[in-house]
Amino acid sequence: MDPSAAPAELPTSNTVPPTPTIAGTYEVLGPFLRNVAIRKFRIPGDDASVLVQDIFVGYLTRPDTIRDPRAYLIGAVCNASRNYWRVRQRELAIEESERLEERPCQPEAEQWEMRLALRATLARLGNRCRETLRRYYLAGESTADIAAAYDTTTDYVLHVLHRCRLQAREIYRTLTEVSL
Amino acid sequence: MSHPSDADLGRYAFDVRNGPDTVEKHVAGCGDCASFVRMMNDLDSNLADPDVWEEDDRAVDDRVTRYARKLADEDRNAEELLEGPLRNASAFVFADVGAKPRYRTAGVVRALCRKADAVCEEDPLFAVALADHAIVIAEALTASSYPSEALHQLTGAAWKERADACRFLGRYPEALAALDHAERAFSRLAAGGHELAKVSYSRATVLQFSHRLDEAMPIVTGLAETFALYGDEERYLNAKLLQGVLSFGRKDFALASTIWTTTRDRALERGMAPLAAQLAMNVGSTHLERGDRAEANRWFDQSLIEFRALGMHTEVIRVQWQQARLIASAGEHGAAIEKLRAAGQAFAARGMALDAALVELDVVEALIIVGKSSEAQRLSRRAFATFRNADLAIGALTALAYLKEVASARPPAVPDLTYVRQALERVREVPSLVFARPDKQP
Repeated sequence: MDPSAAPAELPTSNTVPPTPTIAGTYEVLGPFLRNVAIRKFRIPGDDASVLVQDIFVGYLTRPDTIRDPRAYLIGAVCNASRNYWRVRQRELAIEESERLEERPCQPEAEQWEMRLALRATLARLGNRCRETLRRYYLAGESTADIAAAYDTTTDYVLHVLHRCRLQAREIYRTLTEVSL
Repeated sequence: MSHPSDADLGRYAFDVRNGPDTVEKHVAGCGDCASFVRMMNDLDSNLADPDVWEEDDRAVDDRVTRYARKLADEDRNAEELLEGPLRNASAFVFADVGAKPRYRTAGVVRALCRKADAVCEEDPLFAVALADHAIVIAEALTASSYPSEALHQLTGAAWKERADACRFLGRYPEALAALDHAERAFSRLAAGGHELAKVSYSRATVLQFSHRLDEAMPIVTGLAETFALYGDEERYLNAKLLQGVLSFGRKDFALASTIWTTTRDRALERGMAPLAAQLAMNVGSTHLERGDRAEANRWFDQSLIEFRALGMHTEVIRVQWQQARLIASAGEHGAAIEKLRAAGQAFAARGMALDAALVELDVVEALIIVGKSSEAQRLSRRAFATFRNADLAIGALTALAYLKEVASARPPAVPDLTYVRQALERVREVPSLVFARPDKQP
């Protein structure tokens, strides 16, 4: 058979209607995509929310099926974010125009998802755990400082740190095992 | 093997200097525990990142969830409404859904588009009718009932279905015009990149079938990478295949070979064995065209091994056909004719009349080359008689009737054989195509 006349298309799956659980995807992925628009592309928060809503409306309306919704939606938010700035190009500084270049977003997506999962992890910890971890890791306080603030011993602060880290690890592991 | 407790491992990860020696020695020799320690270290380092401490705005706007519920209801409703009309083309035309208000929903447009996509290849006329009604309904929906993103998506999708159906009918100018409409609609989406890439792919395919390869090539360049941005592996590979097909058609066999070889590597990585085997055959064809028979042979042999391992007997015959053409290119027409006849018979035995006819064409050409014109004539007459009884499209039969004349001419015109071959290939793509004799071309 002459390859120059060969049909180029691979067989694709029959189209099936999306199920109502796709709306659930919005609740899980929506905040993540909004964060991508805000942090990577520096789109203002309100505009980012509208952008993500538009992306989901367009995605839900498609008659065909997307095999990998997560990858598609990440690509879509990057595309939409670049389009957002293209329309406003005159407002961009020259160095910002690099953001318009169509580069794959997928490799960075894992990092963003990890951060999102960690935020969700911290939100699920008790107040004492969260505050102790925050003081030690983010604020850089020593165990002695924390012990003084809590009116307790450094050994106890260490005990709390260890316990809370293990809890965080378990929560994080559970969250990241759930695939979208 | 007993392992340290999570607590001991956690404390060790926190400060290895103060951890007991036993834990350190264990971790050095235990993969699971080493992995646990690594994860704790990752956690510790990420907890110092201010970004992870920012609180998420997890409030979810109700607009999307309300829209999703509305769409789900409309899909269910559309399924009931359209059960009768979608039974067949006649029922659909009679139902005249585009003219009736109760069918004016996004759910109906989606259902019509899905049906058009499903029947496009087998019944493109029905698909055109479905798409036309989808367009009418999509363009009648209003922004008071649906978000503008939805309206653009539906309009674009309906026009795209029309374009695909017209392609299968061979109505290429109409297909291109429909793609223009689809492109305009998708351009209005906030994130229409994927949809626009699909439109570009369809446009390149229509141009390919119209033999406007030079126009198609720039469209398809870079298209695969666009699909990759959306994680669409299937379309990425389709686009690469098409890029190779266009290169081959433009006789840039080196480029086609490069594209198909790298695409094959990717297919192998992803365990897509049938595609990898097909690409091996394609690469062999590029070498055949370049006269590198040794390389062509190597790739055809590899393709044969892989198709045999997959049990894909039809594709095995296809490779053997290519191998016969390879032998013919070396001037061994006698051996080539034998192999070609075997391939032709194998196709015929499987009811693949069009492929068998194409092989017969190669046999006729080989017979003419070796000066066996009488045998070529007999074969072409027999081919016509055989395929008249097979389920060949009228265009193909007409082409074979013309073949009888070509084989009987003194001397037989080999360029006309090429014309017949191209016609048969086009009939494969568009069964309703009418064969036009070269001397009757405008």
